[in-house]
Amino acid sequence: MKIIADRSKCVGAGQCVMVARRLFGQSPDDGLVVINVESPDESERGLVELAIRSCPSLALKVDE
Amino acid sequence: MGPSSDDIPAFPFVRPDLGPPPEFSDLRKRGRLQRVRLWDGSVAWLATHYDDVRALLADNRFSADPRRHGYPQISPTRAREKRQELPFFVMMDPPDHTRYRRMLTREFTLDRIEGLRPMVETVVNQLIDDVLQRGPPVDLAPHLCLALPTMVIMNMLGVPYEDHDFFQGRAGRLLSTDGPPGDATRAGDEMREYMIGLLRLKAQNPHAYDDLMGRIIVDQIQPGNIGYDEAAMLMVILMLAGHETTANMVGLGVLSMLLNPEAFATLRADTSPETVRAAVEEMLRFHSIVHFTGTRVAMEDVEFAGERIRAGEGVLPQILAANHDPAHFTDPQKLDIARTLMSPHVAFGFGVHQCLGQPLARMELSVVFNTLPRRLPTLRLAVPLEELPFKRDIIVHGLRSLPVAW
Repeated sequence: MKIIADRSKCVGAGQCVMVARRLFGQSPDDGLVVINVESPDESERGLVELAIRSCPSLALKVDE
Repeated sequence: MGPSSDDIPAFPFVRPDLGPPPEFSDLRKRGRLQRVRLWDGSVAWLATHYDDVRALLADNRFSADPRRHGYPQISPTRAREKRQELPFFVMMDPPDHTRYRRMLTREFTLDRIEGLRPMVETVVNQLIDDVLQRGPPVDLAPHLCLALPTMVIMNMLGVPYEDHDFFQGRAGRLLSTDGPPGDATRAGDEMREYMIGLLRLKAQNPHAYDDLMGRIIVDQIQPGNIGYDEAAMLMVILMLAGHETTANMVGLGVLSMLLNPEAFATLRADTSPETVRAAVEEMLRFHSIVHFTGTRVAMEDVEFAGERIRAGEGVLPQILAANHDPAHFTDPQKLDIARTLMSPHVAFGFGVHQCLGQPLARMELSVVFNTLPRRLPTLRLAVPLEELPFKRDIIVHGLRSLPVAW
């Protein structure tokens, strides 16, 4: 599982960070998403899916 | 258009003091998209299902720009306020919206907002000191609910707090749904003029100001990315968002606690961040105060939920209805602060316009509901519930006053 973030879509709402702070962050320069853990453990799939569902600008997805 | 002979319901529905209008659950059962009729006779599409509300708000084929033909205006007052030379960026679409929003995103990251928590804790404690000193009964609406977010946003922006009356009066007029003709526009213009003056003053020595205005001057105005009028537009929308929304949510949140003694007892006994966070999320979901946030107009024909939404037709995805959709929230009419959210609520909207200040709102609310139950453990309403004045003429739900005793 690999997390892919489209920064051109990101609106800096911070939902991914709120849901999974270990996996996602926000750049202090522009407030947009940064991925802390690109390929998280399978045990965190639920969290990743919640982050994807929480993203208001549909900027996140996983590449299997 | 005269009175309709069809069965298209008139919109907006009357919002009860607590919870959503009963029409939402009836319409939700009838189907996914329903036609509703607005005050001017026009017809728009109403969405009440959680998944549909999210899908419509995330779909950039729908515009948030009130200047577009067909944009559904919810009242005559709001209809008159649509011609601004430089609208607030929340009424723009990408790419203009994206450009302005990104000038502000780094100011509202979760980390940066968390850094403001000690300041907010100090403010909340000072305000509660003041309430205690006044002695019961005290109206919490001005003395806590409004004072807190006002002090915080003015501090963040770098606007002198002694000017808060100037902004509070005008914020109310700008958001009114039934004010005198042109009054909302005038109030907005006065706030913009004030901000232009303050920006010009600070621009004489912007590095001396460790605040959002100082940084906008240095990073955006001085390099020529935007002019003073655009920067003022950004500052006014931040002031407004800071005033009315969090203030109303604090008031309704406190009321929720007073009407649910068990929840209040839980927050008195357990101030762990997880408990307070869950309680705040439930208050946000239950009240969904910015209920007109998702008004949109189709920019092209869109096939949706078995219907064809034509270009120029209005859509009204209802966040209050979505947050009370029983398919996603068990017993949605019950305020349950221990609720585990299976689906993220949409009280802050969804799509590219989702609230930028939500980390700040959440942090302010968490400080209030961490502090207030401990410091005023015997808090109670000073008047019967039926006597509480709810806001009926503004685009945000809330309480005009909240008299309490202890």
